[in-house]
Amino acid sequence: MGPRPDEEAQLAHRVAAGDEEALGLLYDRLGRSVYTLCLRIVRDTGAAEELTQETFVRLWRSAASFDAERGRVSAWLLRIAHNLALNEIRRRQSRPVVAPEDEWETTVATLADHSGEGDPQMATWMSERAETVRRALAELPAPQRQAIELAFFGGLSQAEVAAALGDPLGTVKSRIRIGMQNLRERLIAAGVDGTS
Amino acid sequence: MDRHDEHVDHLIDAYALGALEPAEVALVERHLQTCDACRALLEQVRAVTDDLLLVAPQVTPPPALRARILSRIHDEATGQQSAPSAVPPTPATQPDGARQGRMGRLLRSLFGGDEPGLHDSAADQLLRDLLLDPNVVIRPIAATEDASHAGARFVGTAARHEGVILAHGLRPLDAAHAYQVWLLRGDQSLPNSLFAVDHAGRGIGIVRANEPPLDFDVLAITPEPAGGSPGPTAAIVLAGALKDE
Repeated sequence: MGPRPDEEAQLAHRVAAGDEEALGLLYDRLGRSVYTLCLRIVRDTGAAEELTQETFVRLWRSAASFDAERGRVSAWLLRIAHNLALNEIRRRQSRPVVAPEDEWETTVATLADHSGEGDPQMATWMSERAETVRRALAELPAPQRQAIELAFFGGLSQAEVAAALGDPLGTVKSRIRIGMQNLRERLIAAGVDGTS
Repeated sequence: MDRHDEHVDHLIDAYALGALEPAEVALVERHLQTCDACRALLEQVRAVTDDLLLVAPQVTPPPALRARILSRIHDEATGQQSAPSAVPPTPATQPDGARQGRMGRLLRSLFGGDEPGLHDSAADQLLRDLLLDPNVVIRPIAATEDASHAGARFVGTAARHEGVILAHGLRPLDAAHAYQVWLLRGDQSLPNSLFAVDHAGRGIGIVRANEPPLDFDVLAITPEPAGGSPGPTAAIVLAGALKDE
């Protein structure tokens, strides 16, 4: 069990009440994850900074609409960032250069920082959970994993994934459905089901 | 009523991944409004996509980003430009003496003369950030009347959703009026920020949009009522191209 969800929810409620310090505390907990996700999608540090800023501005403006019954603040915030980042790459009207995964990992290795600054407990928890999810993803058959990654991190539609991989659309649709089902089963087996 | 043939469970995974076409998204969202079963399935799938959001190895953003975000939030909270920042620049962004000299000369050139007495405002801070950005773009904004000595510069980057407008030589307006920035694209004129000028006709303002200002065709400035106007009510005094053709 990681940092208590109710602590995040309390901070979100304080943000909704106009507490700027609470937003700073949420940035300390989640800023790195937001930035990392944005960078992963747009592959540009300047744009990732802007998207991170926009994500927290959206949080500031809409914190009152956060419903703790529906999930964690971290998930809600990362979904906002994900949507903004995908909108950005689609707006550019250019599809991302999908570098081979090892090239991406090499690039990130020069930037990645596991110092846990900001909120060590949160950083440790997220790092452990992320490692579990990475393993589950890596264990998927390559065609399923590629289709999911191209869609989720590349912003491609199913038709665009099919075109990128040179596969029939129906095949890609099946791979995405089956891959997501496989992923969920592996995460549940690993004790991670997105609800804790 | 059997609605099995209308269920969208076969689309839920792709919907959660963001991989549907717009028409399919509309179909799914319409169905989710009335179907508990598909909504429950979506929550299960979102548990997986929420975990996928954590997958990339963590990368620490620049230290200055935190202060920039909180400054922006403070501006929103107070509804005005912030007071002089209490956050000192980090060593990575602290300009050395030579760079400060170059920045001073650049500021003077942007203002077409004497460096203005810039206040340590949010616009000032943003301008300094932009001028230190290796991707900074400066667009001239020219007067529309040949006899006018007025001019402006827009300072921004292709990626940022905010930039700075620096104007000089504009006629000072009375208290009931202000200069308003417009972002033009095609036949659209989108209202943007307001700014005042000092006795010397110099003014500075932040230009923010849902997309980078440099993606618009033209930046124009008109004198408007002090509270701003949804559409231009006076002749354009300054205009310049933004998009890099």
